[in-house]
Amino acid sequence: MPAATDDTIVAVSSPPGRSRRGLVRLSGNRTLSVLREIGVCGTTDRLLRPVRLSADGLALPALCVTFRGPASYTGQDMAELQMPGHPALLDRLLHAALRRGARLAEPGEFTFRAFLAGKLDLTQAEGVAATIAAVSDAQLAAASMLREGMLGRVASDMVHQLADTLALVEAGIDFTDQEDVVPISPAALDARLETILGRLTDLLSRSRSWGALEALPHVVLAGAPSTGKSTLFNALLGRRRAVISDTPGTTRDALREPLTLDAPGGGRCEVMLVDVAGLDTPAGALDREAQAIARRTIERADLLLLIDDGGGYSFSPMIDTEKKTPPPNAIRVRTKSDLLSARPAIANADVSVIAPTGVGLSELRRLIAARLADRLSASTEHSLALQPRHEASLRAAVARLRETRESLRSQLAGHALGHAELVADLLRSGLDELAALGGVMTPDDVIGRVFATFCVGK
Amino acid sequence: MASGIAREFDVIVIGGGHAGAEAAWAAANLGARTALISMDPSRTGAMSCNPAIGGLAKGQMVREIDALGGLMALATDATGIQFRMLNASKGPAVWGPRAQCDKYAYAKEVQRLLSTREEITIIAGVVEGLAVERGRITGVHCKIDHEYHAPRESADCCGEFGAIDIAEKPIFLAAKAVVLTTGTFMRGLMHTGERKTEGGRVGEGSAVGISGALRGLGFELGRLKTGTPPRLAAETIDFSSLVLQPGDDPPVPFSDMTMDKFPVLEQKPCYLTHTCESTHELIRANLHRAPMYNGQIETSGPRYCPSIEDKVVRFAQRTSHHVYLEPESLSTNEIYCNGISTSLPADVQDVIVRNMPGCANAKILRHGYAVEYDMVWPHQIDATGMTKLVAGLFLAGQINGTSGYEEAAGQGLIAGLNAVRFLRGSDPVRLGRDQSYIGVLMDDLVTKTPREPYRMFTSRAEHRLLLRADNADERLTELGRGLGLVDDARWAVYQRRSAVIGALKEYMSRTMYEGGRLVDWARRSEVDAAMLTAAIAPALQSNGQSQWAQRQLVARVLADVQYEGYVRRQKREVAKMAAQEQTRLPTDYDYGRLTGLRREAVHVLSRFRPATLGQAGRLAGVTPADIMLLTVTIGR
Repeated sequence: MPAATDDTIVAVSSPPGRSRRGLVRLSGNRTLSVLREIGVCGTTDRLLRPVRLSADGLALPALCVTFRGPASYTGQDMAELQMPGHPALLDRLLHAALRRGARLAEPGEFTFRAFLAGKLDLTQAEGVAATIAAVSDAQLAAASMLREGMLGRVASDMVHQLADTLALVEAGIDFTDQEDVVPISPAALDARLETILGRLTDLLSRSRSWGALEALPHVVLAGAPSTGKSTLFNALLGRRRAVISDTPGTTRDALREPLTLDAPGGGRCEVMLVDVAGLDTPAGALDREAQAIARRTIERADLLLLIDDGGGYSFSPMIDTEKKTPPPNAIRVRTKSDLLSARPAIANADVSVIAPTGVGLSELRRLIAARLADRLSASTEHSLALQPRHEASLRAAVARLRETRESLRSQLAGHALGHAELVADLLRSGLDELAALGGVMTPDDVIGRVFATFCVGK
Repeated sequence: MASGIAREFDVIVIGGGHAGAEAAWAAANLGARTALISMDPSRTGAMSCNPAIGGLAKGQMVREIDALGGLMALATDATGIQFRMLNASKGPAVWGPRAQCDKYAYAKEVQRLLSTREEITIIAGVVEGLAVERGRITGVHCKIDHEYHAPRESADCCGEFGAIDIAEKPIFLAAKAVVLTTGTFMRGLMHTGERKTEGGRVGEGSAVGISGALRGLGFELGRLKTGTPPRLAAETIDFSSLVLQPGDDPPVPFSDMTMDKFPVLEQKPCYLTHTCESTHELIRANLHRAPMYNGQIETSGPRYCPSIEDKVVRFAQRTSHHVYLEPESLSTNEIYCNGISTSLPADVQDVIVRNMPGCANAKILRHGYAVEYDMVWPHQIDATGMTKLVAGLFLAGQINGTSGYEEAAGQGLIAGLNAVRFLRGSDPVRLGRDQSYIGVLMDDLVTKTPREPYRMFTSRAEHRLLLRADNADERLTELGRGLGLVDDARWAVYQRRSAVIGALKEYMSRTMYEGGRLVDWARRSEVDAAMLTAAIAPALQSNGQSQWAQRQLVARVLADVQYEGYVRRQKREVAKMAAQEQTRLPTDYDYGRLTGLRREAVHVLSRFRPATLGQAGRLAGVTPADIMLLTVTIGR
């Protein structure tokens, strides 16, 4: 379903990773009440004031400023909360807002709302369009990756089980006049939901939030377009992640994935691998905000992998081009060294890799771990990494299913399912919540399951 | 003969089925000079398959058609021989009113109603071509038999129409808007076993020219299949051994305008029999002679209405299937065998029937058959019914890939309404998904690709709790009044009823009952209609409503109260999306030009050419980010 334009959205608006200052923004008609519910009191209208947030039992000091619509950037009530840029703290604040009815902003949605409110001119609007396109591509890439991963497999399995369950309820509504349709009993329905809920809550408990991952040291790939950044990104992870193509600018957003390495002193450790490829090129195309985030992502990297495919280390336009020397926190990586035998090998490369064959990869991994030795923490690779968007969906789905079970409680002993249309309504919204993780299940798909299960049709 | 006919109309409706009749009725009610052209006007309003109207989700649509001043509910109430409320034991959102009709009386009533509108000219003829100038329809080329005045007076009004002389040269009939409702007649081909007959219905021809005309205009056509069971002679069936299935007593009418003298016709029961194992074996042994299995028919039929051969193959473990024997008319002996739709050869059908209990000596009056027909992939129309290729050309009914009388009638009403609005230069009307099942139907047609004839189910409506049979008038009658579809009499009934409901609710909120407000007590899930009737008895007295209207009112108030929380939530969701539903998109936009739009989105948008941002958002393959992109670049 497309996004509405006046509900309340929230997003972390500072670059990924650690930074001095973290920024969380809210916009929409419930902005002020969300703020009140997380403990902001007193007037903060156009006034940056220190506040104490109570995000789920934790008191967080922050700075807050609000802008009343229509005289705000988005034309709606807006708020900006500034706090130390610790990913875990920002993550907590984000979740506190989500639990109070805000939803995660879509890519470029703040600027989109500004556009709708008539606050942007056409050139700025084009930048918005480019940003939306860029970030949504990255999200789709991430989504297809997700579906291939374990989280995606489990979620997809749950979507199918839930759809089967909904089909049994719908069959009792839409096909009751059919000989073959045996409506599901409340107890049988409850048992099915218990199983699905068990799997979903297990998934939640075994996963860690994205905030924790954001605290890992950030290793950022930087280089000119089409130098093989995405290929290297995937090769390091040992699987497909970013969209790879020969067209420059295919990867347009910062893609982030935890990468497990052998720690210098033995054991395993983790870093966050970031690919900003694409965001660095057609510099004028993106709206200013997107450019700024990309630039700061590179600036604040704990470690830069400067990629060169033989054409020299042309630093990303996002890096200050006036500086002719690479920053000190960089590893110079020579890629495609197989293809360019004609060109002379560059003497100052720290490591040469041929990503598709794996040559040089273990050396690069070793170099990364060595450079970050003092900042590494032990790996928790067994747990799943949940993006805030996915975690929110998962939690919402769990809530819907719990609500469904609650509504069944008084009729568990009964034979026929009462209020089937209300039960179906809850199950349907649970299914919709899971769509982001496990795939969309349309009403027609559910009806198809009825036909496959029962001999329907007089 | 053709010389006496007017050559110019406001609206021409082609086809006299349930879509065509409703389209002509709506256009005429809006004051448009309307021609209704069909091959055999004596079969206008014919029930080609099961003589039943309504059912789950379909009954809600009939109520919606009624709330918008349509004719289907009127004709049903006048000719029903059994009325039943399906799902009556479940919540009111999923109640489905259903009626068995006397199929001859039904068609006759539709024809009578149409004849009360002097704006309508009935023409017997075959349309061979569509006249289009600069992308707009200007009329049709039609081989005319004669102008048709009134149904022929005969016992069997739907009998074969004699001697249609189509040898004459086509003449040109001008109109600014044309509604095309071809049903199963567009290159219709019927199959009974190895035997193939051209035609859309037994004893009738097929329309060939129109298919070619549509292709020539650039439309992408598809082919679908449907089927019908054998009909039996009542006097050859031994009903005494069968399970009787009576209708509701007292029955509830469909139309808000049915006040008294209901039911009109004698009420008839249906009977239940079944197939048996030896029949299933026989079917398995003859699958090579079944057109659906030997490759003779390649198009797909509906999964919700499988043939008996389908059932036997797909559910091989079952040894018996129910068959409902349903009377088709009070005036004839025809019995419809609901449950054994088939295109097996006649000799196999004979055995299938004789093996059913009570039918050992049954005589088959007409064998079952499957029919294949051309349709137009519905992404080529807008939710108004108008095609995106030819302005002023509207499609309704099976031509859009749907199945069912109610689905056809709903589309006919929308197309007739919008045809008149088009020629008058008024804004087109699209019903919302939250407003009606008709809206869900039209929206599904233009945003999804059907894999089988489309039938409505309540589970297709995400706002199912809002779309009840009992509140159809509340949802649509005011709208219909504003559009000119609702006449003074209906408007008066609506206003009176609304006032009574308002008074009941007011009474409930100010009256104390069992230690609290009556309205709060009524919210409890264990409160049912009988309990509420008792509780509000003082307010029910002397409100001037008939007995069944009274019962409907109580059910309605109860549903409103008990669903209140859910309804509020659904309405909030609807309100969020309202702006997108209102935002128009040009249907001739070159999406390839849009930088940043993903290739998949370009492909889907170019194929479907959504007319609103809301439609675009419901296309599979279009993401919320794509919608924002569209908004930024072309939506404003």
